[in-house]
Amino acid sequence: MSASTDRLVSDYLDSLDAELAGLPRVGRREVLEEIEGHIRESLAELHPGDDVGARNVLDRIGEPSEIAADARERFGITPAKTTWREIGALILLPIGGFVLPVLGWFVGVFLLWVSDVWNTRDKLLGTLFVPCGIFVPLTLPAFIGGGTHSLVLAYLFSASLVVDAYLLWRLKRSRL
Amino acid sequence: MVVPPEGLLAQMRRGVLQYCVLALLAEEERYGFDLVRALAEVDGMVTSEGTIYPLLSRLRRDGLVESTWRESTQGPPRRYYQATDTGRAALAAFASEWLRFGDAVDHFIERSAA
Repeated sequence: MSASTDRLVSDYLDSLDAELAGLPRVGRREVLEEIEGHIRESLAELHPGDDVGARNVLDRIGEPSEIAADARERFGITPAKTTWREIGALILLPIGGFVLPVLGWFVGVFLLWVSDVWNTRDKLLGTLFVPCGIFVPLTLPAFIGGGTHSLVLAYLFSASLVVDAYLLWRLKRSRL
Repeated sequence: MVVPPEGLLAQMRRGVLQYCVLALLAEEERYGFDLVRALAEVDGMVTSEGTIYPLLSRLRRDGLVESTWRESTQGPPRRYYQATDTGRAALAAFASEWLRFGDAVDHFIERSAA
């Protein structure tokens, strides 16, 4: 497989993986593995580096969102509803620490993980990437005090808002 | 009313697809790619090939098909699917209903066409 075909396929599989969030774990893995195998078998019949052929293979397999919608119907899953869990997680992750020092952030993380709207990658990102809620309140005096510290903190806080916006975007997408 | 056949046909196709899959897997065991190819040989049966895989997974979860990994002469092992006894029974039940239903529909449609 050429590098560009490889890229096409891995982008496709990433997108499919994300779309399949909400399916039972075993079913999701099986679907991903099988479609990966299907792509491999299809590409084996093409000339290496035939990107147009690879695109046709992916087109015939179908849009990830279409496959995921079909899969949800097959498994009798209605798209997860946004509840207090998701809203709570989105609020508490960036500012939970201000509301209730340290603990507020942990509650946010808990809500993030019990939600079935996000997949594991989203959850890891929400937890590990700039866990502001934990340390911002601890360093709040420095924040108010000004200087370089406050710049760094403002930067980190904005970064955590970006992650929050990403989670919100993923939430909206799972609604479609 | 002018019938918009797209939606109805899509629903019908979707509904019977699992029995077509069961029929193929009752004949012999097949791996996914091979199964999709067999279905795609008949025009109009499958629109997005990828949708076969959630169906297979669901059938397996319901015990209508089972799967076994087998070595492949080219590339990594393949998961072969095969209809179970429950799957065959479901297929037989559907087949007799389908014939009866098809005859009933033919009866009226042919009369109106005549």
